[in-house]
This record gives sequence, structure tokens and C-alpha cells, in this order.
Amino acid sequence: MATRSPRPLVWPYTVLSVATLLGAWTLVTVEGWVSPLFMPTPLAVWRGFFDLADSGYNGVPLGWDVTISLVRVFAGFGVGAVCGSLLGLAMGTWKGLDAVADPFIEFLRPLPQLGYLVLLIIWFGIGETSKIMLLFLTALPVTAVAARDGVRGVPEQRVQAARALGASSHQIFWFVILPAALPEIFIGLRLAIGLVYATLIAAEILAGSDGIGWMVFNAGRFLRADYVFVGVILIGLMGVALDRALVLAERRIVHWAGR
Amino acid sequence: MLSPPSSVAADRPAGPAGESDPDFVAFRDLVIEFGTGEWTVRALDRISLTFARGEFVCIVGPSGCGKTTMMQTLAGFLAPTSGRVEVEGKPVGPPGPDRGVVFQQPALYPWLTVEANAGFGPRMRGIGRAETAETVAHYLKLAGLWEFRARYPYELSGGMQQRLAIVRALANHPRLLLMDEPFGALDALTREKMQEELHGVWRRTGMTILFITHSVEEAVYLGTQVVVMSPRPGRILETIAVPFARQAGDRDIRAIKGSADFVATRERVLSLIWGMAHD
Repeated sequence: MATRSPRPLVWPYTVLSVATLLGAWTLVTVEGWVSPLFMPTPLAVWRGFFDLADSGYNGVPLGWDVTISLVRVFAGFGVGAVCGSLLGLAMGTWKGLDAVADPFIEFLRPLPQLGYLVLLIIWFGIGETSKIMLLFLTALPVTAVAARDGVRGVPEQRVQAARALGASSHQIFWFVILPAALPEIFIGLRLAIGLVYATLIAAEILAGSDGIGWMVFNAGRFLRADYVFVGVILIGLMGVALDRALVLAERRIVHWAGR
Repeated sequence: MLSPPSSVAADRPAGPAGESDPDFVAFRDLVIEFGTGEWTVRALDRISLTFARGEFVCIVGPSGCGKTTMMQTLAGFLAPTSGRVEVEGKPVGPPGPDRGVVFQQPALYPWLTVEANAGFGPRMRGIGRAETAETVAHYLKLAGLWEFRARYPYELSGGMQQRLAIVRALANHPRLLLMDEPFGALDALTREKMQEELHGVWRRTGMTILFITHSVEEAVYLGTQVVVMSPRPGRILETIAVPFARQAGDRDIRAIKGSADFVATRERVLSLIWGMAHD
């Protein structure tokens, strides 16, 4: 039987560590030990946030910057992860397809995304297409490799048992191999969303006219440290939220993973 | 203990008890080779063995004697290099629900509940929901797993997982049950309990069972026949008829395993295996 040992109470330590950091930040900025040009006070950042929320940055509302960034992430990651996972499942199932697709996947996977962003801009222009294409290409190889390894890792006896129980090849794929590969697929998804998100922010800095990454970069050029802080904190929180959402989905869907 | 209701009689694979069909399962000059050319290894060398419906055949022998290969060929996972394997006079085809298989590792599906695992076979075969539910409920109750039906396999103990694997195979009403060291991964006490339970299932259903084990004691306790194999290449050394599985009356596993007859039989089989080791 599964029994859970009582978890030690840890959240007070988390709260304490965050509070200490905030306290130190307040101290060094309010006391003037660090120039506000480098580090604004927490209050200035707080005000900056409402400034941006009310009137936007450079005429672009903050909500728009956040939304357009998230739309890019969801479009690029969504399409890339679905295609990548399906490709990986197929590669794991058919050795021939694996032989055909593997060199491209293995070339693309370690290739720094920003290295070929310029090429995508030449081909697709500076608009949304090149950015979403970049994110698609970021998510595709990671998720494909994870799904393929997931299929390859299915214990032979699970498949043999299904055959002996009367399952057809199609049924074995849908009812045994796919669910058995799901934990690995989720690992791929989590890797991919982290990469996609980091790539997006960098792409917006290099080739953007909106989005949260562009806003931070632009504010930095005008030495608006308060806006940069707001942007960086938002980027961080959005990243945590994306990862947590996937972890929650993972726990619900592949509840057996690791047990 | 499994104590199935009288309705279990309906689960008998086919034919009235005692119907004689000495060649219900037949291995005829079976040869299995792995690899090609210079690297060919002969795993089974002209194996011939037949047994009747309702027998509980235990195969023992040292590692590399090909006992698992024999079972895999009967299950349909391997094709003969030469020779034949037949059930009811017909060569066996690819794996199918008429031959239930239980492995040493339960190979359950952790994404399915206990109940869904048990009903996996009928579901794949397109058997109706109501009928599947009835069959599954029957066997889960038999195996003492009914109250755990909504749990997942990883919430069960090793012995319960293996019982579920047996239930899953039985839910297809197979003609034959093939078991490859099913209790090998269990602790000694659980193992003896499982032996008693499996014996109960066999006695009450009249199922034909091919059972592979490393444990001579287990083979002599459970089997109506014990087949002793020798390795490299795999051959049948001797087939010994054993009376203990058919002994009537209250069975006390300790009394049987401690009896002089049992010990003598066990020692005889063990000395056969020891004889090989000293070749």
C-alpha cells in the first residue's frame, strides 16, 4: 500500500528567504547605497508596474506585450510540441522513418536557435511568421527525441502481454505504447517549454517591435531600470506559471510516472 | 485463499472433465535456433512432449536449458526453426487470447485501474461491457482484489500484482495458461500462499497449465508432471508423474511438503539436476 510519510513543514523557510531578499533590496536602495539607475527601490518598481499597466510602454499597453508573448509561446510550442511528439512516436514505431528523420532532428537539436533566426527573418520577414517558426523549430526536436525514446523504452513484456491478451497492433499502439511513452513525452514537453520561452524572449529582443522581451530591452536602452525590473519579474513569473501548469497537467495525466 | 463459487464450472475451457485427449498440447521434434551461420545457438534440441487437457505441467532445469524458450514458442512469440507445436492438433499461430501468459514481472498497465487491467483482454477483443464487467468481477472477487478494483497497480503489493496478472489472463477464458516463473520475484511466504491459491484455481477450473520455475519444490508441489530439462542445447532429460497436486482432501501445504514421499520426489528431481552440473 502507498503510505505517505508526513512532510516536514518547509513553507515558512521559503517565505523567510523571499522576505530576506526583499528586505535587503529595500535596505540597499532606500539607504541610497546603490544608485537608483542600477537598482530602483521596490516602491519605484511597484509604481512602475502600475504606470505600465495604466498607460503602457511607448504607447503599447503592458497587457498587449504580455498577451502577444504568450500567444507566440502557445502557437510555437503548441504546434511544435504536437508535431514533435507525433513525429517521435512514429520514429519510435518505424525504424525506417527514424533513419530518415534522425539526422535532421539530431542536427537541429543542439543548434542554438538564435543562430538560424537570421535565416528565418530573411525567409519569412520580421513579422510573426519567423518568430513562431523559430519556436516551432525549437520545440520540435526536443519533443520528438523524448517521444521516440519513450516508445523505445516500453518494456517488451508489456507488449507481449497485450498480444497474448488478444490486442491487435493498432490497439497495442493506442492502449499500450502511447500511454507507456507518456511520462517521457511529458519530460520532453517540459524541456521544450523552457527552451521555447527563453528563445522567445531573446528573439523579441533581436527582432521585435512588441512583446515583453522587447519591452525590457527597449526600457533598458533608455535606462528605465524600474520598467526593466517590472519586465524581468513578469518574465520570471510567467515562466514559473508555464512550468507549473505543465507539472500540474503531468501529475494528473501521468499519475503513475516514477512509481 | 481463493474459494471460487460453483459457477466457476462454466469457466472450464472445453469438454467434460476426464475427456481424454492425451495430445491436447504437443511439442513434436521442436528445434529452436537463435542467430545465423557460425553464431547459431541451438536453444532447443528436438523437444518432444505431449500432455492432456487438465494437466499441470511444471518445467524445471538450470538456466539456459530453454524452458522459457519452450513456453514462448507455445505462446506464439517465437516460431519453430523446425518441428511443430500443436494445441488440439493444430499448429499454434501468433499470440492470442486462447493462451494466457503470466510473466515473472506482472507487466501490468499502471495507467489503468485494477479493474481495467483485469478487463484489458475482453475489452481489446470487443466483448461487451456488461459481460466484461461480470467476468472481471468474478475473478477479482476470487483473487481477493475486488475491494481494490478502483486502485492502480502501483498501490498493490507484489503478490497482489501477480494475482492481478493471473486474473487478467483468466478473464479471456484461455484454453491454456502459460506461466514463466510467476512467483520468482516474491518473498518465500507470499510465494507459498500464491502456490496454494494457484493450486485452488487449477483444481476448481480444470485449467491446463504450463508452469516454468527454478524451484524444484514448487514444481513437485504444484505439478501433475515435472519435466526436467538439461542445458546447451536444451533437451528433456526426464518427465516425472507427480501425485501431490491431485491428492484429495484438505491440503496442508506444510504437511505435504514435509511428507517422506514429497521429500523423496523432490530429492530425485534435484539429483537429476545435480547430475547435469557434475557432467
